Amino acid sequence: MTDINISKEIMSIKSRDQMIRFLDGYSAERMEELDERKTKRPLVKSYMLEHVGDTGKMKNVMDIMSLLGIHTTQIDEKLYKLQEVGNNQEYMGFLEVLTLRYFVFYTLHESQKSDKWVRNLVFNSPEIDHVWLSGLTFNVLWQKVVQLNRSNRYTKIMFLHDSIYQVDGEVHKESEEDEDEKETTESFDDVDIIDIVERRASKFSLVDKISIVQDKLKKLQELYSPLYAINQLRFPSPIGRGGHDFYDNGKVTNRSGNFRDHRSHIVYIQRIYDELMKITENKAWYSIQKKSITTPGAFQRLVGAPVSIKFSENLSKETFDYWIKSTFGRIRNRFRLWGNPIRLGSQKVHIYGVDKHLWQPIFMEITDKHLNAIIPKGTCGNIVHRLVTNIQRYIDPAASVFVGDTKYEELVNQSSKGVKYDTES
Amino acid sequence: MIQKVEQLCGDPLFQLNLAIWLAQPIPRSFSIRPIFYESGFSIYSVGLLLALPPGLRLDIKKHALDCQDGAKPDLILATDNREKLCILECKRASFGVDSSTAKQSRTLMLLSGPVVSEVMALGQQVSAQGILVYLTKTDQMMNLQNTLKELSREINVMKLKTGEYDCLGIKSNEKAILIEYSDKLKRLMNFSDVSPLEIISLEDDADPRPLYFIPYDPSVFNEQSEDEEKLCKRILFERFLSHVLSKIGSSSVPSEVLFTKEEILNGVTFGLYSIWDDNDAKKHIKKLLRFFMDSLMNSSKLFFQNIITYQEERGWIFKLENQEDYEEVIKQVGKFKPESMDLAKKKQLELFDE
Repeated sequence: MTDINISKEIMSIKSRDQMIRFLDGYSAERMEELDERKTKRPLVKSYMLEHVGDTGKMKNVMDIMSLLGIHTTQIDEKLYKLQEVGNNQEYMGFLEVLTLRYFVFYTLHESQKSDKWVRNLVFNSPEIDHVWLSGLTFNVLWQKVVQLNRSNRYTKIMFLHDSIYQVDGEVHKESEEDEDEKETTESFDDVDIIDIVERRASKFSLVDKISIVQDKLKKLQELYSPLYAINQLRFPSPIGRGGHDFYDNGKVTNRSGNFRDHRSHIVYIQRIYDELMKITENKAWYSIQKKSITTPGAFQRLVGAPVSIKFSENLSKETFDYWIKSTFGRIRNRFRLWGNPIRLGSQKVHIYGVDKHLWQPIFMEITDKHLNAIIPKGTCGNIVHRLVTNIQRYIDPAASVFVGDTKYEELVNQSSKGVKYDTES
Repeated sequence: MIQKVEQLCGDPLFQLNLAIWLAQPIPRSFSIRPIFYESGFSIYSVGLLLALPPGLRLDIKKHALDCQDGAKPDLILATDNREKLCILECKRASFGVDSSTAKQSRTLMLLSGPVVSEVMALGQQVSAQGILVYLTKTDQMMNLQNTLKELSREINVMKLKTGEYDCLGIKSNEKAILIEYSDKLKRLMNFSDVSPLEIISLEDDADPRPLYFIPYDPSVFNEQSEDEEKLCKRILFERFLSHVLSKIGSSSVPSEVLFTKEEILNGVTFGLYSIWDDNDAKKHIKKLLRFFMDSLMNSSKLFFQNIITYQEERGWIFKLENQEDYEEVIKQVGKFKPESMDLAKKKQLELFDE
């Protein structure tokens, strides 16, 4: 199946009902092919996106896409077709607006192509970011998988940790290439790590019955910390074989025969994430609140809570130095942070910097033992979740995270309580 | 190193930022032990101007007590139920009863007295206990306590009432920065541990300074050492830079991005700039901002002269005509290093003189 045919199929869709029926049928065909181990066409993939920025300045999706040079064709109030503007005018997929803050992009194109396309979309817009599901979040979501499914269902978990800043031995050949080109590709299942590494690098997946994973996972994580860095989790389909593979950057691959169920799972995770964002922002935002009262003058109250990440082991001096140099010495770096580190010791820096995903300020103290961050009011809460995701992946999979004095896992737990369904989606 | 830490313990801006951190909800056994938070106190206000009630002002006038009509303590901490309010003032050193600081101190003593609930407009349901606490170096505690006792005696002789008052001392040893307090203050502030208490562990070669919430405070302008002042100025300039970069980065193209002085200064001080009532200090920090923006523009004069215009009544306008302009501005602003600016005190004083 060529890209032209996929584009034509997307172009021909005129209504929501048509899209759902088409993607449902398409998913069922792919499932049959998966059963026969002969997939002829790419699977349906969804990308959960967040519209970041001040609540008062939310733009509509057509304006955001227009700034990115992408043409939108409205299908209904909350559904659009996205089309490249340029020589080929290719239709890339469908964008559904779940809420003002959350979008989801559905596509049939090959992973390699769609991953790159979405990555560029996020890279070129200060208003769109991936939905970030950290290993710690996945650990809590795993409990939802357990609650939602029979214990004899099979599931799949992928773990990814790569201590790219760890320098073993005295000789380290420093790469000068930009880091963020590779930022998200490594999370996708189509790319293999082929280089020979002499540092801790764990990437493997586990497929087993839910009851067995539930029994062993915690113990395994205690024995081998990279297992905390879950970067992909499958929610088994309740109405058939396979399931929905959620990745840490909000990509979701439909490996089931049902698109409606795929979408339901996305909506469910989006609601949990939305709650998590609200709680994070409520707790972590720093500002001086000015409340007028009768006398005397105005009250100025500093509100917020620091985000604290404690490493499970002290970073070596070489790792610390390399991390700081790679991140703040390069314009393009994996953490997409900018700042001029103020050295306060051989293994302590302060950075009054900027998160370049969203171009918002973030202040950090980084030492060999911890990272403390202050997030001024208005900075999008997803910076916390992206930071945690990246710390688990590249620095320390077993790091403990607190927002204020509340454990991060507790926040995710709180967010997932009571999230069921509503009648509008 | 110990000598440097001892010096740091006396820096009022370090003391203020430390006090803010001590009231933060951070997990136990982390980098800082938040004793105020653990004992139920959180930040009620930063830099809040408090006025003495009219009736009390008449009494003061009658007795010709040498104090102010109002005062602005560095920090006010409060318990959730507002039963206890701690008015906290940071001081490098003790002061005498005849100094101008004593005048402010008498005011703070009266503000933390029985009138505290009225002063804070808490309403009749709440009868708060005011506690005036001076945060200072441990070696200054005894002299300061003597001064406070004398000031309190002066006030009581006039049949006026003060609140509770005491000192919190900061000191360091080879292992940690410690907070020292009396049994009386332990009881008043609900502290559970015995004094002295380790609040920040010292690492081999690391400066124990936490991240600064407040990088600049006009009230301590002339109380900092040259090195401390240089560092605080660097932090302030880094914050200017991150503010400019984040606003440019999130701008659309084409556009004109306006930076007013007030917006930048409020942005980098968590909004405190707008509530400073010290006009000289405001003028001074505005000059620092101007110095910073001039340095930024001069870092790539040929490029920025076509991009940035300055209008006295509006501020700085960055004209981003196309994507190339946008990317080049990001690049040039991003590579600017405040560290390379002249951060020396001499420059600051020159700037202060208009």
